[in-house]
Amino acid sequence: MIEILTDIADVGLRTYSLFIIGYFIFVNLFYFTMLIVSFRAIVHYLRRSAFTDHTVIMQSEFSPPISILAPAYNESATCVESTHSLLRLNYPAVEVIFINDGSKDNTLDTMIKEFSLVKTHRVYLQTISTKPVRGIYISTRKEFKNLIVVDKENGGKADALNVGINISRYPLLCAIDADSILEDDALLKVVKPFLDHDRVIATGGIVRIANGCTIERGRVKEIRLSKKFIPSFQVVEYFRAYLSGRMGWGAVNGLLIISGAFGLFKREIVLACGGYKHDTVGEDMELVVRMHRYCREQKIPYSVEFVPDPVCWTEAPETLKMLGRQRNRWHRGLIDTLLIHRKMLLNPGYGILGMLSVPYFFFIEMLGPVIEAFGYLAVIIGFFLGIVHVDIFILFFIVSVVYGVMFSVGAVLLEEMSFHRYPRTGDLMKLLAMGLIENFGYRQITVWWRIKAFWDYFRGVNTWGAMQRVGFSSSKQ
Amino acid sequence: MLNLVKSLSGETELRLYYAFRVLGFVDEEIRSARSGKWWVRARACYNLRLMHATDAIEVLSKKLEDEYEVVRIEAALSLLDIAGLNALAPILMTITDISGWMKVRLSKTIFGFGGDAVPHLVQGMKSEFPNVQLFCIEMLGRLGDVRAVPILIEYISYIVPEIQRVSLEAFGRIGDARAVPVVLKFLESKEEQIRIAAARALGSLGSPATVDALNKLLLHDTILVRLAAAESLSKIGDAGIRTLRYSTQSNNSEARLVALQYLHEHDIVHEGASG
Repeated sequence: MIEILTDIADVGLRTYSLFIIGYFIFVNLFYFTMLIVSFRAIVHYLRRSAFTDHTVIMQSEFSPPISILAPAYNESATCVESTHSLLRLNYPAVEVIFINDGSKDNTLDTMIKEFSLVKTHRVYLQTISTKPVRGIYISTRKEFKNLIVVDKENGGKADALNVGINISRYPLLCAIDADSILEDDALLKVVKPFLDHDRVIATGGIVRIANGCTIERGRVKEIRLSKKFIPSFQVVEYFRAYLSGRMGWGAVNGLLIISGAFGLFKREIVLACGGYKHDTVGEDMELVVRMHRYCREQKIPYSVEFVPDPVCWTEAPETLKMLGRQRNRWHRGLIDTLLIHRKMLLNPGYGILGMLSVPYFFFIEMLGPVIEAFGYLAVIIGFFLGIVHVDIFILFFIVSVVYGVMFSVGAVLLEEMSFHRYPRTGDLMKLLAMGLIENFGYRQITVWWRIKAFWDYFRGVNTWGAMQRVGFSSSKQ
Repeated sequence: MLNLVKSLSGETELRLYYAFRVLGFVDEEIRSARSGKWWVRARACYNLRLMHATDAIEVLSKKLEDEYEVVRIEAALSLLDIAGLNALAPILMTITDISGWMKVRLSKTIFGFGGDAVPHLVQGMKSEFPNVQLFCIEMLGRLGDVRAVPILIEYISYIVPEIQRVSLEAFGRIGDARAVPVVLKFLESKEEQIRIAAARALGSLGSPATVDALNKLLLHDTILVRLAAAESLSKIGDAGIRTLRYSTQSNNSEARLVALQYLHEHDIVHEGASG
């Protein structure tokens, strides 16, 4: 009996090993191709940038006006600073819509006091269904005439953004996280694709990690890498995700994610799609996928683009507990979005989206951690059964680490050759080292968090999970 | 030398232009403008601008039809720089499409010419491409020159809705009273967007004679048109404000709310200004 079970396990493990090797080769070839595509796209972007003076946009009456949507929940400590920072952005025509999503602290009172707000009788057109709006406020001071503050009942980030969409007057919507910092010229850069082509319906900018940087009065003054390991690992991860991932997907019009921290959208299409879905934790990705789907189904020519240098700075989690919650939420959002739009998977009717982007996110991003975890499990079982060749396992592990390091180094070098934001050689060396070290422990932990997300998702967990933020003021070194 | 020329003027600048030509730099850039690489062609067009290369007008004109927009923009800007306003109408008649970015770049140079650009833009309106026509109308509106009003009045009656909408906006920007009767006609358009544009234009034109027409919209149209009408009434002065106050007593709840919104915001702005 034991022999039969051992034989079955043997056959099963051998078959799974072959599958793993095939999957590994496919995934790494895919990543390599994306790195090349991203490299070409960045070179093209830099060549175009040589003929682009963004200050012309600042001076032009032809620049499309932008409504900035800043949802906030219990942000009394940071709301004043971040609103001032938004009102200071370089762009000729903006309105800042600050949405207080039923905060339990004194966010609204703080805003009323700081900006001399008064409640107006403004008509609220509920084009997208939302939780009730309690009041719309404008400033009595001329210098804040572009600020609108909305007080509403709590309904979550997506609901708050939908209120902002309903109230906005301008053709472009910029969705941001209230606790992120946009660089002064970020809007000038992220709007450029909309000026280039009428068909652009959304653009996303790069999000960088502010931990370790010196921040003064809502501006990043000095860019440094955090001295802590966890934020530094995330810097490398963000480079991989943005510079060698989203850049490549943007180049082939297959970009499925625009970060909720910083994205610009065509209002007309967002409204036609019904705005943000409020019962998902991945509302940013879900909206972009729905916009893709809507345009494909309505046969509207469109593109979704990624712009690599308008920068949004965000505070990354510094503890494993917070990072785990964040990754769990991201993965639940990914699973939810892909299951909602499963009709697109391997559906040639959706073009590159159906045949490449959605399958990539489904089989590699979503199921990847499960396949990887089963791989680790198979190795452990195989050891006990004595059917794993140690030399082959070590070789495979080394190859996988080498590939992992290669893609991380590739992304760091892409950043270094193009935008060179980390001026210190020490920081650059540290980033390269992180690309190596992350393969021993950190990567396996992220796999575990993402597997746990499956469990939570199918148990019906739909919460964000409380995120403790250290705050930008303490990022000063 | 190219960097140097940006900071020079007068005779020194002219001598440098001459040097560029006799030393063969202009010919070299003209050859580059025919390169197979778009960024080399774009750079050549830009450099020819810095060299003020009158010999390059022919090649630059051809580049207006280049497959890459960056090249077309650089060529157009160089032509405007080298040949001045005389190049504007030919540019507008040659280009087949105009993106937002091209509008941003060209408008900056055209604004520099001021009112002198009006006849050239009027000529550009004869382009067979709607996007180019739209750009010319938008520019005429933004230049705010009253000479554009008669041609816009002539144009608005027989053209497509998008161009009508932009023309109405242009009337609002120019602010010439001759446009009032024409704009009033468009308050009865079947297209909601046209009625909104007409209502807004009347607000900018600021004629008290339009108060009744705007009040009619406020009382009987869609919510978006009501909002535009109320906003315009709030800009027209005492007559408009009186009408808004009267509308706050209306039986129509939408009209009442919209009137209340603009009255209140008008009061806030005025109190803020006086404070």
